[in-house]
Amino acid sequence: MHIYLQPIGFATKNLNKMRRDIFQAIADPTRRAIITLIALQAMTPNAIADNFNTTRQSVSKHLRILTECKLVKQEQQGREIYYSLEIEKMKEIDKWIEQFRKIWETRFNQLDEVLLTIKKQKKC
Amino acid sequence: MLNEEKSRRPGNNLLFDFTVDKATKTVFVNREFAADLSLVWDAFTTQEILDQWWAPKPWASKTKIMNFEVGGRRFYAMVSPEGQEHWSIQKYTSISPKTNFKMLNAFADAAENPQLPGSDWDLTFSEQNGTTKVSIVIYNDSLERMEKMIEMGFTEGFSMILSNLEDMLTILSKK
Repeated sequence: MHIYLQPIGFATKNLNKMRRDIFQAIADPTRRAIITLIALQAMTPNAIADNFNTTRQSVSKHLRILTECKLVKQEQQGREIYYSLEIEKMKEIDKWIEQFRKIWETRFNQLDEVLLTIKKQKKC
Repeated sequence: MLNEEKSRRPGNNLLFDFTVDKATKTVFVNREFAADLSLVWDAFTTQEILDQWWAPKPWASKTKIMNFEVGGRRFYAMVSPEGQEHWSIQKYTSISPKTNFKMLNAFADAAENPQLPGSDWDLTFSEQNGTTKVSIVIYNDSLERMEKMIEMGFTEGFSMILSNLEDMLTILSKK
């Protein structure tokens, strides 16, 4: 699959840093699950931890990493801290992925042109 | 879970979809072309035609060696507008003329030393009413390959995002 990525690898060099941060953050299955949970609604660490069989400490650690990567934000409401998703940051990832699709799209649009040219030449 | 992005391109009815299955670490790309099967087959298997479209502009594809036969290979570079070359080897492992071919892809240096392991590609061609469909399956199985992908900025997270992000953004945009 990395070959398939090759054109993207060099098309997105300026995003190196972002990749390191965000993509390592979401390489972990628990963190991905947390993201999916809080995408629906802001939640307290306890409410998040209720969804996992791991310890509260482990969930806190994951939340800290996500916060450090600015994928989630904290909001104090009374005594409780609520975690929610940084939508703009998630959209950055979306844009990044879009480039992968674009590579194929561009490549195939070019092939359309080539096929058309060859077909015309054959008719002559 | 599959994330599917299907679109019919404006001006015609040709399919293009791009799918990632994170569970099997497989990428699927399907595309229809308004040309007969033998022409599309040639476009994927002939050096002269491949170099005209394989690299997304402004990059250029430069094939140094190509012998399309089982055990044969294509050794080519993607060349940046500044002239920087990124070499790759595609080794053909199976060929069923005008139906299917399989290849093993690997990055390489300019002296053709591959960086293994690579990725497995499976390309299937079929024609219906003058339209040719190409189905590409790119498979990547080992942990080493995953690590290679991380080197290229392609973590497991990428697959996850493709599977889930679109759904998530749909939910978010409704808020």
